Amino acid sequence: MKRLVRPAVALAAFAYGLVAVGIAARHGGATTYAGASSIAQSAELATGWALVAAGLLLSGRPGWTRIGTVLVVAGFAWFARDWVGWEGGPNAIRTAGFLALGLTFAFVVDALVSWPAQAPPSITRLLVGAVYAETVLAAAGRAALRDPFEDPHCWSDCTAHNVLLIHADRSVARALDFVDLRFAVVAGAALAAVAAWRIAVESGPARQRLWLVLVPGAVYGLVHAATALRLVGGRTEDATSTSFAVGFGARSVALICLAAGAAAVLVRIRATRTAVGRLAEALGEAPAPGALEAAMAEAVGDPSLTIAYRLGRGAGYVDRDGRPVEIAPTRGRAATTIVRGADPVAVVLHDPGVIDGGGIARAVGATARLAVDNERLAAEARAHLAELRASRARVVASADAERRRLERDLHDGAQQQLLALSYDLRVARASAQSAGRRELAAELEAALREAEAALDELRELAHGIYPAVLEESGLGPALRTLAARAPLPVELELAATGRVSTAAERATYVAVAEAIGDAADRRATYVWVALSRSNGHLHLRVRDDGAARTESLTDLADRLGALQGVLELRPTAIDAEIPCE
Amino acid sequence: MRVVVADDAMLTRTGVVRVLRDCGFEVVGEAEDADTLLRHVRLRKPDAVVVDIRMPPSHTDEGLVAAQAIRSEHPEVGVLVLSQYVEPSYAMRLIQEHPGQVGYLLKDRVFDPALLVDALRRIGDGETVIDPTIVSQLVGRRRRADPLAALTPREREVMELIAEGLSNRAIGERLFVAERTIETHVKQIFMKLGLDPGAGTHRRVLAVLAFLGRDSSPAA
Repeated sequence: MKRLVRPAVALAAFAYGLVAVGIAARHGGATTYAGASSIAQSAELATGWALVAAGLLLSGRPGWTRIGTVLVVAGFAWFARDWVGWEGGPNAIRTAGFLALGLTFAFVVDALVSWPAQAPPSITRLLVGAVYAETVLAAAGRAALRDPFEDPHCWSDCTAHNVLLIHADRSVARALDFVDLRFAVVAGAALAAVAAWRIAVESGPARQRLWLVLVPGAVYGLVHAATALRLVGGRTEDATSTSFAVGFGARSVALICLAAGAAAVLVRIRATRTAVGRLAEALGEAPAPGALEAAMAEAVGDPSLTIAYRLGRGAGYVDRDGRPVEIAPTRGRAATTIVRGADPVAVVLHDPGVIDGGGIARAVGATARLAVDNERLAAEARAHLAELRASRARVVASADAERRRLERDLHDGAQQQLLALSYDLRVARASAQSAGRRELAAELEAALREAEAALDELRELAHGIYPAVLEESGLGPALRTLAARAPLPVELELAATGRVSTAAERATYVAVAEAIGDAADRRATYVWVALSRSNGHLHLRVRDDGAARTESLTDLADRLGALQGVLELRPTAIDAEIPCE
Repeated sequence: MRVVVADDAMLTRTGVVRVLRDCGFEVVGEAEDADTLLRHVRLRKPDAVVVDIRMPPSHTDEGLVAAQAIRSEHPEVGVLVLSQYVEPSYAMRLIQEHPGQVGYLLKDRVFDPALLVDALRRIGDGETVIDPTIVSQLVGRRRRADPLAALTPREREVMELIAEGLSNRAIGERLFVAERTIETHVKQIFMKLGLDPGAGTHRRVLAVLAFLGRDSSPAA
């Protein structure tokens, strides 16, 4: 039964339009626009039918039903003028027509303000309410108080009799006219303003679709306001006058364009759905990671579309690289959940004006779920990998901190004490000498030498555990000391890199130290080290002339891996990229 | 000679103070951090200052920064910087701005009274003092092409003493050779190394240290 409603309405609109225009042609030569010329007839028919057709198309789509219905009714109401101008026709019909005259404008305002995209602010809804209220009140007022015969502005129903007339009050009727006309000017301008504002506020693909509908709407509003303005200026409406006829023509064209625009938007939405459906099938087998998101974005026409995958059981959402992502919808961002059975598996974040969520969820369907699953597993793996890296980095950092502490303890503790010991030994030696105890003095001298040797060794040990100068002054001085103490010639090419994170400096230092040691093991006679910084990375290159390397430098690889750096080992060369920002 | 001693490690500080007093210096102030040191210098106007590089709050190079501040504000006060590390870069920083009347010694040396006295005396005379260990580390660095290959062994000896900050006269005394002979050696050395000889005693220390501290050999 429901399936027959829309075709029935279409048929009814077709017949209704023909009848109304036919009557206008025969009986409304001076009282309607349609009666004035055959062009006007065609225009009026085309407009009414276009509005009804667009409205019927829209009303079949969930979420668009209300706007569709409003447009259908607007289409029917468009022909009201023909009933009003039916010379010799039944007064009841003419009165009813007169009451319905302002409805088309009100319905168009409603449709444009409620057009789905960003939810319009409440002030524009106020406009709709105000227009409806004014239309109803003015109609009611006129019904009760207007006698067409006494209305100086009547032009299409001067010979009609108002069947609802309660009491003919000329001054009130004029006052109503006065207010009504000026309201029409303001409302028309307001409609244009709201339309322009909605276009300006929108962005991206949704804007392209909006202007198809809002621009004609704005034009319609402006012409409506202009016509009312002319009447305010004192002219009486007259279908045979060129200017009024042009105004009518402009309104017709605007409404036809509006209807066409609405239909176009709908067609595009349908096409997008189909594209997404096709995409889903094409992706049925295992796609490349990230391909699903890119392909869907392209099919839907929303470049900012992203997909967030659910991690395990209620563990939050991550993007395709495994990074945590916020999925709550915000202004300009709609979130559509894709479920498998009852469990959500992914959320698509997209521009709300581009495609409604139901469409995405349906279109993705069973065939794309495999792709979604794949991507989700990959995202999960990456999230775990990121966690692993973070924990490795923590292990390395804590080991380094431990060594630093050890070095400090040596510096502040054992080294200081040895210094004090050596001083005491000197003092003792000096007094032994001055007391003439030569042998004792000699023994103390020997002890002093041993203490000094111990100090030297301790200093070397501390430096090997942790080169404090690295933390104090950075890579430049630390690497130079390393080169100076190396067992083979080390040539340095150090670009100015400035200070970077402790982890990065430490990793670079260890890399150079290990590289030098490794080169010495392979009996190189020479090592060349170059360090520079760009793109948030330190670039380290080491070359030597030793025998080809056969083993990997696992400690180095571990340390760099923990930082997400890159290590490339070749037989006598090392290239490393260490992130430092 | 009136001296202020600054070191946050009590053992070292009291040890240095004792050595100084035993050698006849007058210790007019002790400090544990850079701010206190600067205050002592302003109030007591000593002839020289002995300061550890590593001091609170960050324990990195406060002493070095304080040394440079003292040399700027009170040019008549000599500064002897002590370090537990053989760090040529610190030495270079120290003598970069104010080469004369400064010294950089390893802490171990300080407990040899003769060395300490000699260093402070030289600083008082306006000379530069660089710990020999620094020089030997720089000289001992292995290179593919030895930059000092052109020098005779005697010239190498002289050059190392230049790097330690000794004046021509002091070098002569050390090597038991006449001062004029040393002057000739110095001219030769600087010519062979391609350095500017007319820079004055202080600047030449910087020049030699910079030459030795180069990262890469010129014609590698």
